Amino acid sequence: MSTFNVIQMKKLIYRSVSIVAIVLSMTACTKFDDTNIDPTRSSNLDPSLQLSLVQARFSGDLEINEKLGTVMTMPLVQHLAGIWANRYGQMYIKSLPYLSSFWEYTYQNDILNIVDAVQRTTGVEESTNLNAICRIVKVYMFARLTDLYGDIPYTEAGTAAYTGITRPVYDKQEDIYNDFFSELKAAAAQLDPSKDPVTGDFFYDGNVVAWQKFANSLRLRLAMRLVKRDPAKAQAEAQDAYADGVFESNAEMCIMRHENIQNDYVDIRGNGVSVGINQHEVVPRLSATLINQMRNSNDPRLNHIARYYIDLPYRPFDRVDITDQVRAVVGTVGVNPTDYIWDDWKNPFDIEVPGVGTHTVSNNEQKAQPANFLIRNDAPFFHQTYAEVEFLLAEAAQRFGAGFGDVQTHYQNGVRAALQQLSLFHDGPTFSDTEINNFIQSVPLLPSRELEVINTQLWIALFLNGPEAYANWRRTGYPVLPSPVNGESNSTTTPRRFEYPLSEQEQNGVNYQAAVERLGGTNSWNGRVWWDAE
Amino acid sequence: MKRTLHFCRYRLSPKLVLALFMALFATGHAQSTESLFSFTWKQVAIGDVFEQIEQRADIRFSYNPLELDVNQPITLQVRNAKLDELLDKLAQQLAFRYRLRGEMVIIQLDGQSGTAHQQLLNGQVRNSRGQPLEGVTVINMKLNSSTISNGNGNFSINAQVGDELRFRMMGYTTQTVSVTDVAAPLQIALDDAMIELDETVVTALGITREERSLGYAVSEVEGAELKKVREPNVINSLAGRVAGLVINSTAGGPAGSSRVIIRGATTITGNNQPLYVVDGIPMDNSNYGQVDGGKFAAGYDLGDAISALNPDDIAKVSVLKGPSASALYGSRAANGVILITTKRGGTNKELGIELNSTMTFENQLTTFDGYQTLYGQGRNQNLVNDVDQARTSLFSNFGPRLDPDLMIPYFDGQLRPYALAKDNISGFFRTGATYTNSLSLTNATDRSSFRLAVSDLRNQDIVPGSGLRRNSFTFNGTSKFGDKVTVEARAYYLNENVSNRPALADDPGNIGNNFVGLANNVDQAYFKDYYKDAQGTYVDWGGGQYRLNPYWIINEMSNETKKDRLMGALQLNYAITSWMSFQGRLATDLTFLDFEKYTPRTTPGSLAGRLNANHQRYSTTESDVLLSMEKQVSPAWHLSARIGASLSRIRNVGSTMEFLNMTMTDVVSPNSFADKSVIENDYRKHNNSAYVLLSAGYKGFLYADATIRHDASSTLPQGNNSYLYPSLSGSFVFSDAFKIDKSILSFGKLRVSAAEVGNDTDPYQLDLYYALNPLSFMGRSIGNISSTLLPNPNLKPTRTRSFETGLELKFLQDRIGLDVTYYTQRSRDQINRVPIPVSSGFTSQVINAGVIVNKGVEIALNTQPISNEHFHWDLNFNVARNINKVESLAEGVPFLTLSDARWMGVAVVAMPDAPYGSILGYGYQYDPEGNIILNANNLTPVVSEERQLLGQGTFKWTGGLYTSMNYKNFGLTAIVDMKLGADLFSMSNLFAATRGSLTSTLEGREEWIQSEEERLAAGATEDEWLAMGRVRGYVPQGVVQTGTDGQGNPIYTANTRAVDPSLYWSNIYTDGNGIAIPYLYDAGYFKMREITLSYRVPGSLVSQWGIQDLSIAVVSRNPFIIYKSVPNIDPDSNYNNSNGQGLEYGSLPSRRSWGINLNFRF
Repeated sequence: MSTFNVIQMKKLIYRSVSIVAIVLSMTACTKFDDTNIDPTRSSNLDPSLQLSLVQARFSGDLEINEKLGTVMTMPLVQHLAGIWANRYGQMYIKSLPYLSSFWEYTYQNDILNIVDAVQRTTGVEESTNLNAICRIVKVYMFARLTDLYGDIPYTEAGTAAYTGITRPVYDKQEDIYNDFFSELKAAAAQLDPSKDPVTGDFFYDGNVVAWQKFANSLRLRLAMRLVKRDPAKAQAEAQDAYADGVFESNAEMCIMRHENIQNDYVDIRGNGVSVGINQHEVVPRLSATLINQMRNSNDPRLNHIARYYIDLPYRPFDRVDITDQVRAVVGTVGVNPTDYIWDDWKNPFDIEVPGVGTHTVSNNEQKAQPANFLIRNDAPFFHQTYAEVEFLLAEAAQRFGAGFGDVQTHYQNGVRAALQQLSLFHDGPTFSDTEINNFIQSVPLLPSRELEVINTQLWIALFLNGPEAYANWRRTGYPVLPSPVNGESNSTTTPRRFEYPLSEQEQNGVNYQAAVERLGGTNSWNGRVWWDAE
Repeated sequence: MKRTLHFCRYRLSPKLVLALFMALFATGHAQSTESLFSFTWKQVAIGDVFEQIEQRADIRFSYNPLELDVNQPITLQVRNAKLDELLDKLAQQLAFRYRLRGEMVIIQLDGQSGTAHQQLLNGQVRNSRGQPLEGVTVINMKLNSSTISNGNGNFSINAQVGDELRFRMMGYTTQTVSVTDVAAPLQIALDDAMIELDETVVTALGITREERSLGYAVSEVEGAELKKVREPNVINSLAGRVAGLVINSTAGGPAGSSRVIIRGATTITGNNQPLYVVDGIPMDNSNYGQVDGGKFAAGYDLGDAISALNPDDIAKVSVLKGPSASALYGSRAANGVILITTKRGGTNKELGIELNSTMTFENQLTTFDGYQTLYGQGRNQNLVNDVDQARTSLFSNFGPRLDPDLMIPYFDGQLRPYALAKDNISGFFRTGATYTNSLSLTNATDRSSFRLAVSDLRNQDIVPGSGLRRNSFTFNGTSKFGDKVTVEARAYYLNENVSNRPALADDPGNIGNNFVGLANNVDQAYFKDYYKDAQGTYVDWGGGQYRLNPYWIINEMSNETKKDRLMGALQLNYAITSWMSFQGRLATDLTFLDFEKYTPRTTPGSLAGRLNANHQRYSTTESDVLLSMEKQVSPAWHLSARIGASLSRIRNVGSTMEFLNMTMTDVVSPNSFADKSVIENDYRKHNNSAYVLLSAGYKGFLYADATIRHDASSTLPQGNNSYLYPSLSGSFVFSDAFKIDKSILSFGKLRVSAAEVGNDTDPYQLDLYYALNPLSFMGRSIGNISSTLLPNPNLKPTRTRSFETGLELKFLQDRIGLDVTYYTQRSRDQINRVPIPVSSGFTSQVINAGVIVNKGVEIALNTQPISNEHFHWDLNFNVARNINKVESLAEGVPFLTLSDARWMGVAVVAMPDAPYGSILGYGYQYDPEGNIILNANNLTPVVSEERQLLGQGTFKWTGGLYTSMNYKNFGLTAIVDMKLGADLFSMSNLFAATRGSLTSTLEGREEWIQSEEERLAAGATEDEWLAMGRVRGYVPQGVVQTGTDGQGNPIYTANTRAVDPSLYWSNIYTDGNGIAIPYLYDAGYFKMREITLSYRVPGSLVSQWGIQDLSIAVVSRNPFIIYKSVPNIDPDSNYNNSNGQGLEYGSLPSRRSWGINLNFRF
C-alpha cells in the first residue's frame, strides 16, 4: 500500500510537472506570426488614389478652406465681412490657430500623401505620367503654403517615413521657387500621351496635354509673384511659360467639381470653400469695398453675385430671395470693413414677399450677401482660371513689353473670361456680348494706372479663391483697401503673412529659429514673405 | 525545434485547455477522508508517530517545536478509526488541541493543563443569526491560553472567575467577556464585523497569504462596505478609502468611466490605469470610448468595463499598489493591480437568501455660485432692440442694469420683462433617481456549494431623458470530487442599456456647455417649446452650430448604448500531495457593445441628418496553470515554490459606421440613409508568460519572497519581444522576533521590496499602413497613409523599477494602528508617442525614450478611540503624497502634450524636470518694473512669447477620513475625500467671463454706462469723447507702450484709458492664445463622499416573518462639498479619463444622492 502510494505519487508529480513544463515551453515562445500585422489596412496602395485624395482635399477640406477662406483671406482682401467668423481677417484680430490650421492640416495630409505618391512613382516606367502629374500637384500645394508662410519645410517635408527625417529644415522661399520652376518645366516635359494613362485625376481626367497647359499657366502665376523681388527672373520664367503654352480659353482652366454634400470636418466631397461660407448661422456678407467697386463700375455681375435673403439660420438654401424688394429701397449695400453685421444700424422696413406676405426686413437683412449659386455645396472650385492667365499676361506685357503680346487684348480677354466663367456655376449667369462689351467700356485701362485696373479686375475674378486673391493683392498692392482697424484689432496694418504654428516653434525649434532669423527675428504676421518686397 | 514551432502556432483554444484538465483528472485517484486507520504504538516518539500518520493520511502536522517535545514517547492503540477519531485520541493523551485545516493539523498545546485552581469552562459560540460558529479562537487573556470552537460552536477552556475571555474570528467583531461563573455554560454571540480586520490577504495569482509575511503594501476593502451606498460604477466607492489610490469620474454621469491611478502615472503616453483581476483572472477593462484629449474633443464617455461589477457580488477588494505586489501579473500590472474576490457559496447548508434594495434620489451638487445678477442681456451696455439682437446676444450679459419694469423683445418675438430669471440654468435639470435591487441565493452541501445572484439597476439621471438600466446574473459553483480535486465554475452575464448619455466637452450637444453664460434674464424653460417649428425643423435659439438647443438635444437627438457581457471561468484545483497542488484556470470575457447616435435632419452641422454607430466586440481569453509546493520543512522553516504559466489572447473587433443624408425620414435606421461609411478595426494582442515565485518563512517573524517572470508580447518586434523581470521582498515582524511587550507594541513589522516590471504596447505600431477613404468620391476611391503616427520597427519593452519600504505598528491591543510606506518608482525606455513637427508629415512618432519617476509616502492611521460593549468607534485616516517628475523625454523633444485645451493655447504636458501633467499656457508680459503690458489698441494683456508652466493637473496630496460608529444596533459611517495641490483650467468659467456672467466682470460697467449717457447728451462721437478725456469705464490694470527711448527700448506708461467692459471681456480669449491664468483655479477640495446611518432591526422583531436579519440605512453619496475654491463647477470636473487631467469644459453639474438602503436576509 505504502509502496504503491509512493509510486503513484511519483507518477503524479511527474505528470503534473511535465504538463507544467509543456505549458511553460509554449508560453516561453516568442513567435507570434502575423498577429501584429493589421488585418484591416494595406501596406501598398495605388499612388493614384493618393493623387485623387489631395486633389479632392485641396478645395474639399472644410477645416483648411474655412479657416483659410472665410476666416482669414476673404475678409483680409475685403471680399467678405460682417459675421463673427470674418472678424479675424476683417479686423486684424489675431488668432494663432486660425493662422496655423492650414499648415497643420496640409502637411499631415496633403503633403504627406503627395510626397509619398511622388516618391513611389519616381523611376517607375509604367507611372511616368502619374509621376509628372503628382509633381505638378506637389508644386501647386507647396505654393499655397509658401505664399502664406514664407520659408517652409520643402525638400525634407513629409519624408519621415522613408528618410527618417522628423525635424525637416526650412528651405528659403527663393530656393523653393527656383525648384517650382524647374519642377513644373520638367514635369510638363515628362508628360507623354503615349505613356501610361492616369486614372484618379479629378482635374483633367488624365488628359496630359491639359496638364501641360496647367503646368505652364501655374508657372506663369508663380513667375509673376516675383515681380517685386526679382523682376528679371519673373520675366524670364513668365516668358518661358507663355512660350510653352498656357490656357487659351475657359474650357482649359483648372477646375475641381464637388458633390452636393455639406461637408463636416471629415468629409471632403462637397466644396469646402462653399461650406466654409454657407454653414454659418447667417451667411457672411459682402464687404462694402467689393460692392462699391462693382457698383461704381456698373459691373453686370453685381446683381448676380450680391443678393438679399430672408435670413434662416443654418438653412441657406431654403431662404427666400428678396433682392428686388430690398434693392428698391436701399440699393446694394455691403458691410463696412470696421463693422459687424449688427453695427451700422439700419432701421427695419416692411416689404411684400410673394408666398410669405409682409416681411420686416431687419438690419442684418439689409446687407448684401453672396448669391446661393456661388456657395452651393457642389459649386465648382476654380484652381486657376483662363481670366487670371490673361490678366497676368496683360500685366506682363505692361511691365515687360515685347514678347507677351498686346496689353489691351489680354486685358479684355481677361474681363470677358471673368464674366463668362460665372456660367460654369450651376445656375450661374450667362452674359450677352453686349453686356460684356459695355462693361469692358466702363473699366478701361487707364493710362499709368494699368496695373491697378488689371489687378482690380483680377481681384474680382478671384472672388472665392481667397489665398490667391490675398497673394495677388500683396504682390501688387491693388486694389487699395480701406483700413478696417477698430477697437478690437491686434494690428493696425494689414497682416502680410501667416505666422508659423506654435507646434513648429516648440517641436522643430532649431529649424524654426533659423527661418525666423531670416524674417528679422520675429514670427509676426506683420512680417513679409521673401517675394513680398517692400 | 519543430515541436516548439508547432506550439508557437498554437492558438489558445478552450478545447486544448480542457484536454489538459482531463489529463489531470485521469491521473488523480481521489483519497477518501473516510479512510480508516489502525496503529499500534508502544513507547514511540511523538515525532515518529506524526510522521507515520503524515504518510498514511496525507496530512501534515504543524506545531511549535519549542512547546512540544517530539521525543516524548507515547503508547496508544487505535483500530479502524477515522482520522478525526485518531487525532482526538492523540490530543487526549498529549493534552493538546488541534484544528484540521485542509491538509494541515495545527496543534496547540494546552500549556496550563493540570493547574489546580483552573476549571474547564464550556460554552458555545454562535453568530448573530444563532448559527453555531466553527473555528472561533477563544483566548483566556490571563492565562494566555487558547482553543478553537468545534463544528457545533462548542469549546472548552481552562478558566476561573474573573478571567477575561476573548473570542475572535475573521469577519466578526472580537468580543471580550469576563468569566462570572465557571460552571455555567457560556453562550456567546459574535456580531458580523463592519470591517474585517483579518490577518490574511489575497495577493497576486489569488494566493491567500498571511499579511505579516508580505514585503509590500496591500490595502483591502470589504465588499460589504460597497453595497449600501451605491455608485453605479462600483470603483468610485473606493475614493478616499485607500491611501495612494486616486479616483476620478468624469462629468459623463452615472454611466461614465472612472480614472483610477495608483501611486501616480508611470507611463507618459500609455494607459496608467491598474489591472483588474477578478478571482485571480485578469479582466478586460477596456475603456469603451471617451472624449479624446485633442483640441476639439467631443463625444461621449461610453463607460468602462469595471463598471459592470455588481457590488453585491464583491467579497473583497485588494489594492496591490506597487510593481512588487504585481510583479507576477506582468506587463499589464505595471500600474498596480486591483484584485476583486467575489462571493462564493460558503458553508451554510440552509438556503441563504439575501435581498438588498437601494433607492436614492439625485440632484445638483454644484450651483452657479459665481454668476452676477445685476446686468442682463445685451452688448455694449445697450438694451436689446429687436429679435435678431435678442437671438444673437443670448449669451451676452453686457446689457444695461436689469430692470423688471422694462419690456424687451426676446428671441422668440415675445415681449417679456427685463428681469432676473432666478436659477435660469439649473431649472433644466430634474431630480434623478436610482433603484437597485439585488437578490442572492447561497447553498452548500458537504461537497458542493453555489451562489446565484441577480441584480437590477435603474437610473434616471438629472439630465432629462438620460438613464441607465443594468441587469446582471452571477453564478458561482464549487464542487469537490473526492478529496483532491476541486472544480469551480463561474459565470457572469450583464446586460446594460444606457439611453442618451450626455455629450461632453466641445460637443455641440454638450448641455453643460450650451447653457454657459445664458443671459440671466432668460429662463431656460422658454426654450422648452421653442426648438422646432411646425414642420419639425430645428429653430435656432441663438447658440449657433456649436451649441445646439438643449431641448432639441434631449427631445429630438438620441443616443443609445447596449452592452452585453459574458464572463466565464473554470478553475480546477488538484491537491497532488499534502504539500503540492496544481491549479488550472480558463477564463473568457466577452463584451458586445453597440453604440448609436442619431442626429435628425436640420440639426445645424448635420443638416442632412446623421447616424453614427459603433459595433464592437471585446474578447479576452486567459488561461493559466500553477504548480504550488508548500512545506514546513523544519520546525523553523516554511518554504514554498510556485511555478506558473499563462496565455493571454485579446481580440477586439468592430466597426465604426457613419450614415449620412437621411432620405427616409420616418425610420431611424442605417437603411434610411443614402451615404454609408464603414471602417473596420481589429485589435489583436497575444501574451505568453511563465513565472516562478519562491517564498521562505523563518519562525513566523522573518519572510522573504522572490519572483521572476518572463513575458513575450506580440506587439513588439521579433527579437525584442520577450523580457524577463524579477522582484524581491522581505518582511520582518520585529515585535515577535524581539518578543516586545505586547501591552506596549502589539505588532511591529518592517517590510522592504524591490521589483522590476516590463511592459509592452499596443499592436500595429511597427509598419506604415494605407487605407481607403470610407466613402467614394465622384464614383472613385481615394486613399491615404492611414496614420499620423510614424511607425517604429525597433521598439523594445518599457521597464519600471520600484522600491518600497514600510513600517507597520499596532499599539494598545491593536487600538491604534499605523502603516507608513515610502516608495520610489522609475520607468525607463518608455514606449512613448512623442510629438514631431507636423511638417515631417506625421504628428508623432513612437519611440523608446523617456524616464518618469514617482516617489511618495503613504500613511494610514487606524484608531479605535472607543470600544466597549455598546459603543464602538473606528476612526481611520489615510494620506498620500506623490511626487512625480518627468526626468527626460526623447532627444530634441521639449515636451509632449497629453491633452490640449480648446481655448487659450493651454495644454497639459509631460515636460522634463516638471511634474507629469503640468499645465502649459501663455503668461503675461511684464515691463522692467514688473507691470503687465497691455496691447496699446485694445488694452488686453499681451501674451508671453512662449508658453510657460502655469500649474499642474494632478493632485499632490490625496487622502481620506473614514469613520464608523456603532452603538447597539445603530451604525454611522462617513467618508471624507481630500485632494490638494492641483490646478484646473476652467473653460466654463472663462466663457462665463467673456459673456459677462462672472461677478469679476462687473468692474467699470456703471461708469461706462454713465459715460456713454453723458457722451450722447453732449452729442459727441466716441473719438471726440476720447479726445476730451471724458471716457470712463473699465480701466485695465497695466502699462502700454507709448514710444521708444533713444536706444530703441520701449517706453511704458501706466494705462489710464477706460474701455467698454463688454468689448474688453469679449476680447480676452482666443482659441490659441490668451492669458489663462485668471481661469486656472486651485482644484483642491474636501468632499463629504459618503454618509450612512444604519439600524439593524432586532431579530426578535422580524423573525416572525422569517427574516433572520434586517437592516435599514439612510445613505448618501456626495452629500456636500466641505471646501472648494473653484466657483460654479465641481473641482473634480474633467471631460475624459486620459492622462491629461486639469482641463474642464462645459461640465454638467455633479450629482449628490440621498436615499434608503434595505437589506434582508432570510
